[in-house]
Amino acid sequence: MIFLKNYYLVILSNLLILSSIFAQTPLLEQRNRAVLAALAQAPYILALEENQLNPTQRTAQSIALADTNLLQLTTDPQTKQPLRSEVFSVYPARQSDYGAAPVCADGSCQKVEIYNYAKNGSVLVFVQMSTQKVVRIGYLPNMQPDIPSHLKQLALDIAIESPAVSEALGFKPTPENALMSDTKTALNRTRCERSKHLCVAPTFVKDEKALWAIVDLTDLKIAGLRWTQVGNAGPNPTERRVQNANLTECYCQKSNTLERNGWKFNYILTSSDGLRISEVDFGGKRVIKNAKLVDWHVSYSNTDGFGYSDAVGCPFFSSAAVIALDIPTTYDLVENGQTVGFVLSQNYSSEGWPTPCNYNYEQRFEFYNDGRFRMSVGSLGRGCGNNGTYRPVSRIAFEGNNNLFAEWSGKDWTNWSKESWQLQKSSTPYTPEGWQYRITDTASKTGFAVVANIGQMADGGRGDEAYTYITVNHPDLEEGEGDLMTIGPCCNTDYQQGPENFIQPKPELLNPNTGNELVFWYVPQLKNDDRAGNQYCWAETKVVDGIYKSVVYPCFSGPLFVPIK
Amino acid sequence: MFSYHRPNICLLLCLFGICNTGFIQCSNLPQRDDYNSINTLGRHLFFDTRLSANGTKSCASCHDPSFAFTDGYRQSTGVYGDPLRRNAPSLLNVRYLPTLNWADTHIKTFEAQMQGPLFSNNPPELGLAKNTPVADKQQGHPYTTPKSIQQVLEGLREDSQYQRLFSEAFPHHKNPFSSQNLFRAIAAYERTLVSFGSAYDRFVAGDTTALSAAAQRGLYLFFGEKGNCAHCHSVPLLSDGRMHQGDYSNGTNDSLTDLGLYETTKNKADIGLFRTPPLRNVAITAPYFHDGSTATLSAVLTYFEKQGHSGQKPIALTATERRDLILFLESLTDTSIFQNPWFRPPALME
Repeated sequence: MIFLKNYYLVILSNLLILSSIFAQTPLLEQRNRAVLAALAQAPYILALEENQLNPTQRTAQSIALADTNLLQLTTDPQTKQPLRSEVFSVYPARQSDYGAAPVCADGSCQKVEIYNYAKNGSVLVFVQMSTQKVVRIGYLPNMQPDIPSHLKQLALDIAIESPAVSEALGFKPTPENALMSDTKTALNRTRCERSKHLCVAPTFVKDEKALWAIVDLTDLKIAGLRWTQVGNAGPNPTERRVQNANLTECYCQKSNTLERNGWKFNYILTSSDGLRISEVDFGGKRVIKNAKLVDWHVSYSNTDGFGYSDAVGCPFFSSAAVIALDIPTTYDLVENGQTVGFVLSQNYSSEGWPTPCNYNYEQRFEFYNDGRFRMSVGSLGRGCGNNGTYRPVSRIAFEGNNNLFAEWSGKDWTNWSKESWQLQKSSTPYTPEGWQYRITDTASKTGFAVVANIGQMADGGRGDEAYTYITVNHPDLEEGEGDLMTIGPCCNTDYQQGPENFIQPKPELLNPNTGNELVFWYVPQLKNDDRAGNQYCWAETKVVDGIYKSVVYPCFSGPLFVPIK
Repeated sequence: MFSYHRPNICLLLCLFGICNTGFIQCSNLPQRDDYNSINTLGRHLFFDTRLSANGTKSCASCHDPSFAFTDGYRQSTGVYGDPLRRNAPSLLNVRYLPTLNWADTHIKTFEAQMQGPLFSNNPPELGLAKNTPVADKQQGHPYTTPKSIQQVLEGLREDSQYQRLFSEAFPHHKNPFSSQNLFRAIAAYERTLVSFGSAYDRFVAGDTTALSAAAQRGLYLFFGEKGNCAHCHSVPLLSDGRMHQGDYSNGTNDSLTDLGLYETTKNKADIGLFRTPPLRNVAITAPYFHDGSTATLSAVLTYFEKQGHSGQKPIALTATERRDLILFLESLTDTSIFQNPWFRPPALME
């Protein structure tokens, strides 16, 4: 009885608070009513509306929300009070998700993504449609799903109706003026700091500047306004491309196999982890379990901590902000005029690139005929400020036999005894061959040496200043075998880029004798530059042969893995 | 009560035989009672974004304790996103420098220095107007209604916390909410930003284990004839505080448009002169040089290997010497600044 009384008091206080917040627009009022209705009835989860889903997705959502186990994740464990939660998406589970839910290998599963605003965590529910049952529920603390379209509209509504935004711009903007409205952001000294609340930043370009209207979608208000300098935009050289019709059917929905130059592997375009390769063999021997690009963190202010957390992936089955428009391509890898291997490459682009506040990324897997390989990740500009730092988060899961990780101390190799991270600095020692780490089999000592990128890769890169993390692979947990959501905030300037979530609070011991599978996480730090003669991670519009063209100054990153035989 | 252990700086300086030499007077060094009500008020103001035209930036926006009171950018940006001309220098130990600007020897006090960031309009940094009230939008920045320092003070007067802080800091003032008191309080806080707790300091104080063998080799290289770094980067601040030729732009910046000391003296001999930057905490204050044109310590050494510095010959370093020197420079980081609550914002402010 007391519980019920408290419960209604909570609902009433929520109503008062939310009413005061949602005092303005019809969209906010509608949102207010929906939130309160969801909080009033178990399982306390705001569902996607029927018109947002197809019949299969509707069924999957209903089955997921009917699962009583969800209540543990949508209510306070002590008081049992409801916590605000919302379904963000329902998509078919695909091969890249099967690591987390092997039973879904029959291809009949739907994946329901739910965000818990109170805990700032995400719930993944896999529903097997053939049996009409929930087959797996996973919880991802401090991770946020991609923003669904209705929340993008809500953020736009808040930004456009804000008097502060109108005053700063000198006019009331329209939705068409806004860029990046569905990309997550942060802002220090507010509740958006380090993405503790769900925040996005509709951005408005004016002259050579961009105004960031940082919207807190948890509290439904403007968290702050910030300006960045984007440089002279120039005319749009009409780079917009049409999405390749084969992309979804051939590369998003199913896995492909590539066999070439002694290499054999599968690859698929994931929802939000870029192009993922798996079961990678060289010379008939398995060398890599899988590898992918988890996140792009783009920071525009070290001190204010705002920027974007981008995901890249397939244009369907995801809400990724920067998407693949064309299919993966392969081409020869040429060094000194000789073909030494091949490259599997995938490009991701915002629609308006190369104009300000639009992005273009490239992910390359470079396979050498002698067994070397490299996962290279680059930005082709232009972004939303000329003082930005890109921090892409890559993940490579090695096969179980490569379970001894060591770093070069300057004199000898020192084994890592537990999960940890390390920053590449100016003083970092390398072997004469340029090796910084090695990952090897305990018994045979074969494996890979890791050649640090210090700008010697002949791809325009200037060095990575990278954070490297080693974790123990747990395919049964939500640690990256399946598609990961955004795992870190946009703008941390230290090691807290997301992989540390799988290390802290208690780093696991690395015991090479127990056959630990190791995961190598890599987060380079690439600072853009728009200064004449020194451009980097940048794109400009120039007159070339009498017409406007994009001139790109890419920044590529990534270490090279050299086989130790 | 806030407690803070500060090393015996006078002792440290005297180890180098330079105490009370005129450059630094030990009698001027901060004492424990410096942590008084004026400094406390100054600390609140230093981190308060209300001291900007649109409430988005504070002194700490460009002088963030997380980066040893710099901001990690080539050039900082103002409240409206405009790029500023020069790299934000660290504020740690700046109280001991004879001048407080990259290239203006007239600015010798914090009170004088802060007039630039508070009121400059070319481009606006914090974007405030000196005069009050400013009602005409045309006088301010086109993107917003301008705000004067008096309007800022009026706003602070409404805040009960500031009512207490100002009255405690200036108990005998009828109206403690004056711009002069605001300047004085921020300056007082800045004078407390002192850092002499690096591994190098411990080594100098007698802890021979504080530096690795490689860093010790780097130290001898730094102070020795071959490196000759200490010629300008002299102890104890690792800056002589003087102006030197500083075309360190790597040819990538419009260095000719920044004429350095000449801009204030109009003396042709002063073209391109900039103050020697102190090297304490240098590993966490990238990018480097007055224009922030060089991203890493390694790149700085590469520059000196190619160009030399201040009219001297290029330095030829082996790979080992390079690494030793960088390890020594990294040993100048005082990690205690990250734990010191006095260097952090006083409270979460939205």
